[in-house]
Amino acid sequence: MNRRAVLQLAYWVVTAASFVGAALLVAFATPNERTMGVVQKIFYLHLPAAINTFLACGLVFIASAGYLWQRKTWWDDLAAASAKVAVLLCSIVLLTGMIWGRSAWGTWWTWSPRLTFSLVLWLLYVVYLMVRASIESEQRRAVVSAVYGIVAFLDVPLVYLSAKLLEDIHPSSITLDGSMQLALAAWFLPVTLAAGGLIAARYALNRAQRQRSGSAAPEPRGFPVRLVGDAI
Amino acid sequence: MTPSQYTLMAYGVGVVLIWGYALVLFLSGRASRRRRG
Repeated sequence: MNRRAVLQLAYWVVTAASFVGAALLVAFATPNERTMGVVQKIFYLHLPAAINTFLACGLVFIASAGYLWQRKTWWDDLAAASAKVAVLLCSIVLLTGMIWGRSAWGTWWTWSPRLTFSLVLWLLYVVYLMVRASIESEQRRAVVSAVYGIVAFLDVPLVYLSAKLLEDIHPSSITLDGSMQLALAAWFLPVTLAAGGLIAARYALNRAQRQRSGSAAPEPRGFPVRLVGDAI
Repeated sequence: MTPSQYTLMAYGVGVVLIWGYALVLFLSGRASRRRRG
């Protein structure tokens, strides 16, 4: 086993251990919230998943802009990897939210602003992956998905602000005591480590696939003139 | 279902999705390395 494999193994062992630690903390050291009861504990997974969804979408945005600026394929590979993890995390946000809603509100789904914008976010990045899969030309795929990745990010502030600015059944803030804050912080660690590790692993796979296909060399820089021609 | 069961279901969904995808990536990486020799 080489040094890199040992480091990767250590990273995932630490991530798994922090998952177990955070789960034990929520199960045995956190009180039930007064009005919502035990189902409020879903929040400790739901919020870190939501924040990491935003971070992954932000990485798609940065990598997309980076590709349009520099025309280097590793930006495109990073955007693709981040989008996949963004879809995964957003799925967790939607599913945990629906399960919480079923118990707290008595319904799996309601068309409140935040829920609707969150579903739109998930759809936007699913469509991003579908767009990538549907374009054969590597360069055209990279340009079109980079433009799309920048535009799709516009939904992130809408998701964040919707429950604060619009009338919404979704809680916009919650008061936590000391042990609850500790549990929330504890869940940020494994979810963030897992998100980072998954993006890195998916990125490495994308690079390996590109090197096998023999197209890892940087493309000529031509923003913004080339952008228009490539996108059409 | 009880609130406790809903809570367990939510954590189960989250953990299965994250670690399921990690397993998929691990197996894909191993297959990719084998192809490269």
